Amino acid sequence: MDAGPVGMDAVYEALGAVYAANWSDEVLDLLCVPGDGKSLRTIEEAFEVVDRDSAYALPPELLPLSFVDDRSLACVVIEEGDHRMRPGSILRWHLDEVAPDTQLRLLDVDPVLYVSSLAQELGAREAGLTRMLDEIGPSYQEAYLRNEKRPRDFVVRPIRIACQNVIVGLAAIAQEASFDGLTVVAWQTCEVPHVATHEANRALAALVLCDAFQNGGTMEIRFDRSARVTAGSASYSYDGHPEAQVPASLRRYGRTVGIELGAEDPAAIFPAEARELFLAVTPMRPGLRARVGDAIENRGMAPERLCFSLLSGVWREIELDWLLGTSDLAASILAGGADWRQRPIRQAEMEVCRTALMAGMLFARLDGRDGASADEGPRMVEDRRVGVDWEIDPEIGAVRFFGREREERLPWLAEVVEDPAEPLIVLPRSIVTAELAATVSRLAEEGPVAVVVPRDVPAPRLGKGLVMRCPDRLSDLDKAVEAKLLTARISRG
Amino acid sequence: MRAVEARLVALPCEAGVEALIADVESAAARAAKADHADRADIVRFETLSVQLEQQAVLAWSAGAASAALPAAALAELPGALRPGGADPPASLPASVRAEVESWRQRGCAAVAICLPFAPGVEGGDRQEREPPPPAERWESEQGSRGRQAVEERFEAQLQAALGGAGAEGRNAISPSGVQNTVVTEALRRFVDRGGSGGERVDAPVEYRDGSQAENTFPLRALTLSEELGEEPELSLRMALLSIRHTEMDAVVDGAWLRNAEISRKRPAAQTDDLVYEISRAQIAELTRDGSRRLRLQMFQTGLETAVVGFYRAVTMHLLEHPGSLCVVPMYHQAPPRPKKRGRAKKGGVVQSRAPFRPGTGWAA
Repeated sequence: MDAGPVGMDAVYEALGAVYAANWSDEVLDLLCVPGDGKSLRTIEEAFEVVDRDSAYALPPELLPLSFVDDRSLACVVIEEGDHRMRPGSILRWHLDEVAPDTQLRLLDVDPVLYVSSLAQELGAREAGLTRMLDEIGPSYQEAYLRNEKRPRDFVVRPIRIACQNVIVGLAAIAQEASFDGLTVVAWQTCEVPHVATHEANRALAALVLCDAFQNGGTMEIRFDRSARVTAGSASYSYDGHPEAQVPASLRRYGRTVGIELGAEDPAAIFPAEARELFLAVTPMRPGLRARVGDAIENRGMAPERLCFSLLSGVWREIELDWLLGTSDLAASILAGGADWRQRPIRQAEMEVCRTALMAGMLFARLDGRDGASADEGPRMVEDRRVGVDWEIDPEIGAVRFFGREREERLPWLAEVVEDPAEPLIVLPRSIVTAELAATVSRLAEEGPVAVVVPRDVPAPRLGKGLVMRCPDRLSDLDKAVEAKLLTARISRG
Repeated sequence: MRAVEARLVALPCEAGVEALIADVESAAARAAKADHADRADIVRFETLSVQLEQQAVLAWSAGAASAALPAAALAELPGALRPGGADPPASLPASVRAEVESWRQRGCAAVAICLPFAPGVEGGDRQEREPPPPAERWESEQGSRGRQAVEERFEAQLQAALGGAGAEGRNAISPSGVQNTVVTEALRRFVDRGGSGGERVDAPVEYRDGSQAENTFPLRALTLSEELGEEPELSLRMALLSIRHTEMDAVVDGAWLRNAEISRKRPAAQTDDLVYEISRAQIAELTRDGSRRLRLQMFQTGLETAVVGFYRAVTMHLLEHPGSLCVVPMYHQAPPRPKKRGRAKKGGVVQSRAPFRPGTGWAA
């Protein structure tokens, strides 16, 4: 794929091309050009806005290129800086104070590609919005929501993503049997000040790819196929997406994660590209990403199934990390597990799944800061995470938790035990063997260690280790596991 | 990476244990007879099995006799072998079988425990496997779109299944997402030998959830005609599935399959197998095992698993009892536009705004 300009001369050449080109009014409304150019905005004005409104000074390596929204700018890197400052890259500068990891996020890899993609996107935006808001949305409301009917996969279905009451993504999709893939007739995203860069494209792509996976097709996604929407007496026909190719905003996002979308056919994301995109849009911590990579490359697991398991919530991050890290049965589990008639194999799989669930529940407990019983006013349910991290130890089948908040007492313990030092090593099991007890005694010499067992399992005899009791009984855990395995069995189709 | 450790543990058959093993066996028998989608008996079996296995683990921890098992023996191993019960599977090593026999003679049951977190070596016995390639995309050779493209794609699958006859890893057909008219008519064309000299091919059927039907679909298996050679002794008009399209109720004698049984959450191939089994039994009963001529007008719905399972049963019946059955598919057509309301297409059946058109008959 095009990695953007190389060297400073290429950057200045690209900027010259941007300033010299004739852009549409929508682009000129955002673009910052030198002096009294054709644009409504100048670079000088942009600097003034930054000086006046920005919480921090703009790094000297950056030159404002265009406004992204009311509170952020797209800037070109014109001098080499730290690892993010690759010459020619387009970075987003937030005027307001934002989390450090969301400032200076990559918007695109090249000034010409960026402004051209803006022109394509904005040129088709009106048509796309009319399609979504006046035609597809109301038709779907009339034909399905009002009648409480669930649409089949071949029906054109709208998707809307909003964050804090602001719509950031709209799309309309339908499975198309004629090429066994997904057809997309609308795709509209935008950047807003309170949402991380490209998050609308990432989230919309995740939803669309999950739908493509569930529909059981080839994962090809086309933007040039006709579709019809009917509700009552109204009927609308579409000849593909208004841009008639992979939408510019999605291609722009693809470039930022190193994927050239529509490389083989500008109007389609081919199955191999969809696979790369699926992996890119699925959030994973570095340790899990490495483990997923190993599962794909060396254990023959399908990337699509791994990504779907995470994005659909069948298995959470720590649970999947546990499955992949500790057991060779992970592939079978992710596909829905062994047949119940193969009891010994099923027995082993259930134990792996139970322990994954218990690890996930404990992580949620340690990482949560739910103030349901606190006397601090209204209960806040958003962003109450502590920021706990974990590491799976495949050698002993344990999880190490780091970054916990020291509590007065450790959770899930009958007796009051002051929260010990870090890291806390946890071995989730429903069967405690002599070998495990010996391992716990050995680990207890080095630091805090606990065995987590279901609520109704007889108390294991351990030396120095702690015994934490999960609030769920064995049968509750098995029920939850079976629900997950059933979802995995029937998720594709 | 941890390893799976499997072993049989000698568990004294005291009253509680004996009753528990009996309950496990009873639950297993009930689960085996239950519908594929009905997990109630499976859950009961598993809950009881867990109780038994927990007791075995406790006994093992307390020093009860046990015998380690090779991983290869796991697939065939039942949960428990009680005194006087079935013989241990032949896949068990002779020494283990002898040991199990001695336990059983002493009044102990042998209970299998399978521990997934035994000490192991990182990737010790793991076989390196390549990642599966991305799915192959499909494109119409003739540039068709819409329904024609769907038909072309499904026929290409059927053609590939014929082409891959005898090869290892035969090409499966995948009817998922294909309209029932296309599935029915295309299958008929490929079941019919039509004067071609090729051999019969039993094509695997795979659905998009990855499940594969236990029964293959016989292609190039019959010389089909559209009607019975003689007058039918029994003619019936049936809806393939009950409740699905109530507008059919006025024109049919009954429903072939109960929606409540068929439309359940289960892998698609299991629905196909279930429909096949039900249909084989019902066809056999209605034709009195092929001794009575039956003509069925089948008013179809779009559930591809039901369509494939039913026509597989029709094909298998015709292979065994040619001349005893004719099935005429009846396809639902979209209701006419208001200005054309009440006008039926020539040759169709219109009843209370429910138009159907006949497809090509299946008879041999």
